[in-house]
Amino acid sequence: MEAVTPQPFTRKDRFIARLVSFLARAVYRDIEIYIPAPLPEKSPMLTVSNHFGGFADALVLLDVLPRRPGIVARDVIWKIPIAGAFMNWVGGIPVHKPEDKGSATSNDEMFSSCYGALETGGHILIFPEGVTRNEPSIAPVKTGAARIALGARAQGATGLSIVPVGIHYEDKAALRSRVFVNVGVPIDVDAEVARDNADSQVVDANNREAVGALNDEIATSLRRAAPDFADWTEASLLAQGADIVLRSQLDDPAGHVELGLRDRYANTLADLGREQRVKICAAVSRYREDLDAVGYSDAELNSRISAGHFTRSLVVQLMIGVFLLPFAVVGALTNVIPFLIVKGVGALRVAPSMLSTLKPIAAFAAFGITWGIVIWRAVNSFGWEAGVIAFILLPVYLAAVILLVERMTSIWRLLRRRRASASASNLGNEIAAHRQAVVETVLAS
Amino acid sequence: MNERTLLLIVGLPLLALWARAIFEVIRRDDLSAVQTVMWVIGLAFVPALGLAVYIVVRTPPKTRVRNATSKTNRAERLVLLAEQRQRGELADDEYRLALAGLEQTSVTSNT
Repeated sequence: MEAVTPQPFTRKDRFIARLVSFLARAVYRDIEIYIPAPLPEKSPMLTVSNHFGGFADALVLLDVLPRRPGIVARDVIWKIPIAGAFMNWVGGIPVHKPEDKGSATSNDEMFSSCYGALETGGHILIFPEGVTRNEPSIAPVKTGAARIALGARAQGATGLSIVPVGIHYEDKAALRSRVFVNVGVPIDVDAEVARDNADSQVVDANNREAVGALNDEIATSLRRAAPDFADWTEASLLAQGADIVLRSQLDDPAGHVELGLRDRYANTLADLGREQRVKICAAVSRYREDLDAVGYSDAELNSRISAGHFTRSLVVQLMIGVFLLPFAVVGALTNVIPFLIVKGVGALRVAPSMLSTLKPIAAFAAFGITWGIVIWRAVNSFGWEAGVIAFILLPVYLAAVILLVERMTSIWRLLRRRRASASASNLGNEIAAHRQAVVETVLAS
Repeated sequence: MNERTLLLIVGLPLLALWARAIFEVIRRDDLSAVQTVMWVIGLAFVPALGLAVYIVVRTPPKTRVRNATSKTNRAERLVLLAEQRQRGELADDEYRLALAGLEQTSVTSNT
């Protein structure tokens, strides 16, 4: 297998970037990325990521990372007919896991591929936990990433950075939800080695001590970047706590807290001592009970919408809705069958990470085949130009459906906010006190 | 389906996309003058095919990227402080002090 050296701006690269971006944007409503420190542009880079969503993780990272990486993936993927060809095409590097039977028994080839790519200033992506995860925490980090880094360095890859990346899914089993990619502070491997190994011993992939030290460093920074909570309840309570506190800091008390900001703050809360986390969770659950009782969200409860603003927004939203309607009707008619197929796949009782792999694949197959049939029919009955027009307009009609649905939800939200701001004055001070308790508990932690 | 409905459903979005593509080509600064002219000629004389080709080959839109130097509001500053403490760059008391400063600005900006 040849070494993967990303050459930016070749025609193939551009095509892959375009395809990946199209797919990722079709599956997710919004992809947000936070990069606190500039990433290396020319020097070798090893990206380590959490692995929550199977295939979706690779898709999202291929879309957002500034340089296209060679992806280290389980060799069993190459046994699946189309997936194998796809992996070769985007530059996948097969890794053999002992629990998968058959094929390669050593990973020498994988290591030499990675070394080759990193030596020439390339970019490798690896999921160091080695498994997809259905818990909101990081599995024990395997030593593979640290061994690749130290091995590549020993072979002459200088200036290597390890970039920890945490993928946060708003809801990983849902299509059209939001994703946030949290890039951590890069680890400078040369500096790390110089600090830990003052004596001039050989530092390579076989130096157990150095591998262990670097691996600890990788695990720590991955836990900071990625969701790492005790359990789902704590994850949900700390996220809501973060959301409430951040909203209290906004100028608009009913404002929208971005997914990225919320999850970054929740990550720092998850690193607090157990006692403090328990306190925060208790305060949040008390306020959450209030919210459940009155049936409003925190933002809705804090909204004050003037009558004029309300009417203006409503009219604008309705006008856009009416304009979109004819296109959305065509979109709904052409896409109802693939939509039902994807819904059916979504109802399967499998693990969420499996679902986030299956759903995009099912969606691309179902929508692709349906659109192919429509285009073929158009060519047959009206000539090739009709086919070209169908190819251009099919995504537009689908977009019209999605936009119309989003419009309708925002009208619904507007009505709720209006109702909430009308009745908020009648609500007791108790709820406000519980909310204040959440803010104070979190800020005092 | 009568002709007018067809014109609305097919013609309008096609025209909108086509006009948008022409404007985008003219305003793009990553194309050379020759490339811009070629695209405009292509879009003008073979509209449907030109548009389809343009949609397929044009460079993908950029993802929303935030970095530490982006303009920050109070909520973002709070998160940055918490992260610095988490990484051990801020001691507990330094964090408290910075947090109190943040609260101060929140009081003044509210009045």
